Amino acid sequence: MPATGFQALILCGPGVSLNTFTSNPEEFPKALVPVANRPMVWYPLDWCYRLGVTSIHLITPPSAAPAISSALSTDPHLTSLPVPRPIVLAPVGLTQNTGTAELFRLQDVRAVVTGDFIVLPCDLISELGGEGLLDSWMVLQAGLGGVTGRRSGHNGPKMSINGEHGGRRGGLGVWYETRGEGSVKNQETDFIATVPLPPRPIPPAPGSIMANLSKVVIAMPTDTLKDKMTKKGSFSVRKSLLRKHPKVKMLMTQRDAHIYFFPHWVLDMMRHDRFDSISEDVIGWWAKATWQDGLSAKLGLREILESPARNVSEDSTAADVYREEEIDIASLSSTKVSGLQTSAPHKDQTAPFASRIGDSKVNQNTTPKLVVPNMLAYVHPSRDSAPLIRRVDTSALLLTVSLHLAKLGSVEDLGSAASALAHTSKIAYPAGVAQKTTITKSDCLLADNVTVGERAVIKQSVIGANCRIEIGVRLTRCLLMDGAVIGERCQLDGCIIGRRSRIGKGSILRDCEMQDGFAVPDGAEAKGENFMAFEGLDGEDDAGIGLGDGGDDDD
Amino acid sequence: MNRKPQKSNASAGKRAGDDEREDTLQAVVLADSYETRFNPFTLERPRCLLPLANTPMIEYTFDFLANAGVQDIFVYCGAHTSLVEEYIRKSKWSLPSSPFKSLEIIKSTSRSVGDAMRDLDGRHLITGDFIVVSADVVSNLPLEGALAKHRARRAADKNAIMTMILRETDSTPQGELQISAPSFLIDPSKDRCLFYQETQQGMDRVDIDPDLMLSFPGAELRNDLTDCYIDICTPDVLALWTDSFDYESPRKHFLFGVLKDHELNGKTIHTHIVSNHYARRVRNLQAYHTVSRDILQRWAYPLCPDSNLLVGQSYRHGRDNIYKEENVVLARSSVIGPETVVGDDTSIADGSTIRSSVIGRRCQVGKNVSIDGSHIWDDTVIGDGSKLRDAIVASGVVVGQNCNICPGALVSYGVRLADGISVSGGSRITRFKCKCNNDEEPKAVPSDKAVVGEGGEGYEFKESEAEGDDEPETVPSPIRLYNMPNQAVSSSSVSSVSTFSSDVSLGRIHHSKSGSFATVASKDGQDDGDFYHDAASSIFDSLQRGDAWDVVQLELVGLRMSSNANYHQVRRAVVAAFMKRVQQLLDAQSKGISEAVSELLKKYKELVKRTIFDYEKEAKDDQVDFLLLVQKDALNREKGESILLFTAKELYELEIVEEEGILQWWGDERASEGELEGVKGRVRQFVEWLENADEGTESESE
Repeated sequence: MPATGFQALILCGPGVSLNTFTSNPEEFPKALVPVANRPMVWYPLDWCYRLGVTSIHLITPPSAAPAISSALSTDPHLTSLPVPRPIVLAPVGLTQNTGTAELFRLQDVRAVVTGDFIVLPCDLISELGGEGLLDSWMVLQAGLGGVTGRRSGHNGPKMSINGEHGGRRGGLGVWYETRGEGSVKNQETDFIATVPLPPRPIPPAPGSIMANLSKVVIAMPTDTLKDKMTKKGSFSVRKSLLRKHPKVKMLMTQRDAHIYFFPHWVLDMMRHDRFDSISEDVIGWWAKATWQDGLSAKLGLREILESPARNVSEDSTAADVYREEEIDIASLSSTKVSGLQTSAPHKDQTAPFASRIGDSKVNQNTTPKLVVPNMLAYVHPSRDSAPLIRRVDTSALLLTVSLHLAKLGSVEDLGSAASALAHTSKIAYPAGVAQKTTITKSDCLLADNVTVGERAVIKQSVIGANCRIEIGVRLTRCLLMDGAVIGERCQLDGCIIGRRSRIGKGSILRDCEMQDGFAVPDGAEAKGENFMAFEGLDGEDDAGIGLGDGGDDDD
Repeated sequence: MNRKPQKSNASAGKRAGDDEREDTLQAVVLADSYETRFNPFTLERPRCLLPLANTPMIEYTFDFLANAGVQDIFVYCGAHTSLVEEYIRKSKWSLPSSPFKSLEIIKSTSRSVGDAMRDLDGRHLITGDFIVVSADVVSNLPLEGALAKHRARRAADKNAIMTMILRETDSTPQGELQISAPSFLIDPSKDRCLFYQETQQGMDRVDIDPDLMLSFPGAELRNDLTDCYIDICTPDVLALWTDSFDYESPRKHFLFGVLKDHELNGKTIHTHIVSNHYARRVRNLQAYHTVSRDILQRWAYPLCPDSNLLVGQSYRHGRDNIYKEENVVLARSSVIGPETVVGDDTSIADGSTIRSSVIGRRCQVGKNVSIDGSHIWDDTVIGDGSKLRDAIVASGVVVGQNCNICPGALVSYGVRLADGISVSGGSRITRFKCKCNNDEEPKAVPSDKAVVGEGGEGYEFKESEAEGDDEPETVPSPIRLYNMPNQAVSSSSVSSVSTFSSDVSLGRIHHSKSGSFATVASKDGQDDGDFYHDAASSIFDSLQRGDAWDVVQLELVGLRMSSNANYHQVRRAVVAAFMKRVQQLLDAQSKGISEAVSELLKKYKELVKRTIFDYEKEAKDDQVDFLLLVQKDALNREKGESILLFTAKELYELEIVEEEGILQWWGDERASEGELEGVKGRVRQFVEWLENADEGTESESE
C-alpha cells in the first residue's frame, strides 16, 4: 500500500476508570494494561500498521514516558511490530489531566504534526480495519491533486485547487453502538445527530462502509445532553437545522470511538481556546458550524480555511491540470446543499461576526459564504456479526473485550483465515498444562509459560504469561494478568486478577477485581469486591504480599 | 345508496386464514374539506367537485381507492351534500361496473373532521380496518404494502391503531413544502410516530420531550415528509375521537393529542413512508396549481388527462405534454404551448397563445388572447385581446375584450367582466348570493361596477373576518401563483363552510373556528391551556350527568388550585362547558333554546355566581368578562344570537348578572369588535328594554 499521507497520533492518557490496575500511572500506565495478553497500546499500533500508516507518535505525559519507552523495547508483542518504530512524544507541559484538544496547542505536538493526521486513543480495540474508513475519507473528502494536503515538504499539487475552499477535506469519526451483544452496564455514551449524505450517483459497493456514513450535525456526550434537557425541560432543535437537513437521526446509545481522520487545518482550528476536548468541543462545535450561520466565523474558520498563506503562483501549473476535475467534483461533493444557501438574510446574520476578521472588514458584504467542510460519522452497525469496536476504559469492558478476543480462532488452527487480532495459538505453552485438566479451548487463551495443575477446570478465561494455576482450581470468565498465582481448589468467577497477585488456597471469589501484587489469604470468600491497597506499594519487588485488608472482610 | 350484489373478492384468498376480520375493506371519504381555502369557489360547489386538469378531484380519490381494493365507501358530506350526491349518482362509480360494492353518502351537519368521525362512530357502520381519506387526494400509490404492514402490526399489538401515509419529498424540496412541513419524530425501527408538531410562524425550534429522546434512541426527526392525509385506521380510532369530543383537526388535534397522551391511552400511531409513488392532497391553491402541473407532467401516471377518467372524455396526449380532446377548434395562427389541456368543443381564435394552462370544455377564446399558467374551467368566454396570467377562472365566466387578469386572481362562477377591465392580482370576484339575514331569501349582492365594469356582474369577495391567528402556514412561497397574503391568513384549517348547507344558516359567511375547547385554548396561550381544557371537559361531563352544583364547584376549585388558574380562566371554562351543553341539548332537539338555557342556569346558578366577584363594586369587570365570553362562544354556534339573548336574559333574571353588568358589557368596546358585533343583534331589544326600564325607575323615583 502506498503511503497514505496520514500520520497517527495515539493519545496515551491516564486510566482513571481502570484505577484498580493503573493506580500508579508512572510505573504502569493504562496503555500497558493487558487486553487478551497484549498491552493495550498494541491494538491501536497494530491498527495503524495494517492501515499503512507508519508515522506514529505516542503522546504521553513525561511522567509515564519511561515506562512506555521501555515497554516498546522489551515487550514481546510490541517489539514484534513492524518498523519504523513508533516515536514516544512526551511534550513538556502535558499532564495526566490535559484535555485532548488542549494538548494540540502544545508546541511540541504542533511541531510533529506535518500533514493530515489520525487521532487514536490508546484503549481502542477494533476488529474493523481502518482501510475502509480511509478509503471513504479519500473518496468523499480528499482534496484533489494528491491525496492529502501536507503543508510543506511534499511535491504534489497544492490543495488550494479544491481543498477546504471547496468544502472538501473535512473530518471523519467513528461511533459504535454500546448496546447489544457484549454490552456492559453504565457505559459512557455520546449523543450525535446525523443527517444522511446526499445520494451518490454510483451506489456503494457491497461490503463498503460507505452506506453507514453520515454527516454529524450535533454532537455532545449524552450526559451533557441530559443535563441540558433537565435544565430546559425539552430538547429543542433549531428550525434552521431542519430547513437545511430535513431528516435528522438522533443517536443516543452510540459511543465515540475517538478515531478521527483530520485534515491538517483542524490543527489550526484547535488553536482556539474554546476547545478543550476533541470529542466534546471540537466535534461538537465543528458539527454545528456546518449548518449554523455565523458560528463558523466565531470559530475563526474563515481565516483558517481561506488562509492567504497559499501561494497561487506556485499552484498555477497544477491548477491547470486539475481544472476540469475540479468542476466535476464540486458538483458531486456532499456539500452541494449548503453551497446553495446564499440568500440575503443569512448574510445579515454573518455580518457582525465577519467584522471580527481583520482584513475582510471592507468587503464584508461581498465575502462569499463560507462552506465549512463536513464532519462525517461512520456509525458502526450493531449487528451481532459486525466486527467489534470498543474503547476499553472500565474494568467491566476490559473483561468482556478480553473474553471476546479469547474466542477468536488462533492462527495455528485457522491459518490465514484467522482474525488480525488472533494469537498464534490458544495455549502457548502446552507442556505446562497437566493431565486431567479441562480447558475449553474455543473460548480460553493461555499465554506463554502458564502452568496448570491437575483437575483444573478453565472456561472462558484469559490467562497471562507466567501464571501458575494450582491443582483443582475452577476459573470461569476470568482475566488473569501476568504472573498471577491461584492457590489450590480456588473457585473464581468473573474476576480480574492483577499482575503477580496471589490468591490463597480454597478461596471463592466472584466478580472481584484485584490490584497488582495483591495477596489474598487462604479460604477467602468475596463477591463483587475491589481488592486494592490504599497506600501506594513500596516497589515492584514486594510483589506477593499485599497490605490490603479486603480479603478477610467477608469471613 | 347503491348496494350491489356481492362480487368476487380478489383479495379474499389472501387473508383466508384470518377469521377475525371482515373481508371487505372500507373507506371513509371526507367530501367536505371544512376549510375555506378555496373560497370563493367553494361557496357554490364543494372542493371535491372542482375540476383539476378538467376532472373533478373526487374522481382521482375514487380511482385511488379502487386501486387500493376498497369495497365499501362512505362519503361524508357537509356542505353541498345534494351536489355531491347528484354527482356521484350520475358518475361511473354508481354503475354496475363500479369496483365498489357499496357507495353510501352520509349527510351530516358536521363542522369538522372530528364531528364527522364522532358521527361515524355513532352509526356503527365500520366493521374493520378502514381508510380515511379526504376527497381531494391525488395518488397513484398502491396501498397493499401499507395495509399489510398495518395489519401485521395490529396483529402483534392491538394498540397500533393507525397508519399514516407520508411521502418523502425529493432531495431538493420546493420551498413551500419545506417551510410549512410539519415535523415528525419517527422511530424508524418500528415506523412509529412519536411526536408531531405543526410549523407555526415565528417558531424557530422544535421542542421534544426528553423522555422520548431517552426512550427511543435512534429516532429520526424529519421535516421532509408531505402528509398525504391518507390514514389507515382501526375502529379504535373512532372511539378515541368520541372520547375526545373537542378534537377537530385530524392532525393538529387528534394526532398531537393521542401522541401526547400516549401514557394514558397507550395507543401508538405508525407511519408508512413512500418515496416512489405520487401522493398529494390538494389542500390549498398552491397545491392545486402544483398538482395540476404534476398531472400534466405525468408524475402521477396513470392519473393523467389521457387516461380519461371521466365517461366521455377523449383526451389524447401529444408531444410536449399537450392534451386535446376531439373537437377542439384551433385557429391556424394560434399557439399552444407545452403542458396544456384543452377540452372538447373549445375554440381558440387567431393569434391567441396558450401556455401551461388548463382550458375546459365549450370555452371560446377570442383573438389575440394570451393565457399563461391559468386554469379556465368549462363554458367560459374570453374576449379578444384579453390577457390572463396565473389565474383561475371558473365555469360560465364571461371575460370581456382587452381585459387583463393579473397573477393570483380568482374569478368565480358566472361572473361577467366588461370590456377593458383589469383584475388585480389576488382579488377574488364572485356572484355568489349571500344570505345576509336569517329570515331573508338569499339575495344577490349588487355588482360592483368598479370591479367588473359597466354591464358586468360580480363583486369582490371579502372574507368577513381576517381571523385565523392559529393558521399554521403563512407560506412565503416561491410560486408566484395564488400567493396571496390574505388568502393564506384566512384559510384557517378548522374553519367551516358547511353551514351553508345546514338548514339553519347563519346570516353571514361562517368560516371562523368553531367553538372547540382546544382551538380557543391555543389562542389564550399554552400555559392555561391544560387547565382550561381539563376544567371545561370536567364541567361538561358533570353537566351531562346532572351532578349537583356544589359537586361541580368542588371539582372546579380543586382544578383551579392545582393549576393556579385565575378567575378569568375559570369563567372561560365554565362558559365553554355551559355553551357546549346548551348546544348538545339543542342538537338533541329535546328543548328549545330558552328552555335549555334557563334550566341549565337555574340548576347551576350558584356555580356561575361563584366565578363573579364584583357585585359590590362599581365597575362590573367580572360580569362584563363573563358576558364577553358567552358572546364569543355564541359567535361560533348556530343560533348564536338567540343563545346569547336567552343567556343574557336568564343571567339577568337569576341575578347572576346585574343590570349594570349588562349595560357595561353592551357599552364595552370589546363587545363590538369585528365579528362580535354580529351576534349582538337580537340582544339589542333586551338591552333597550333594560335601558327603558331603567329610565322608568329613575323617573318614578323622581
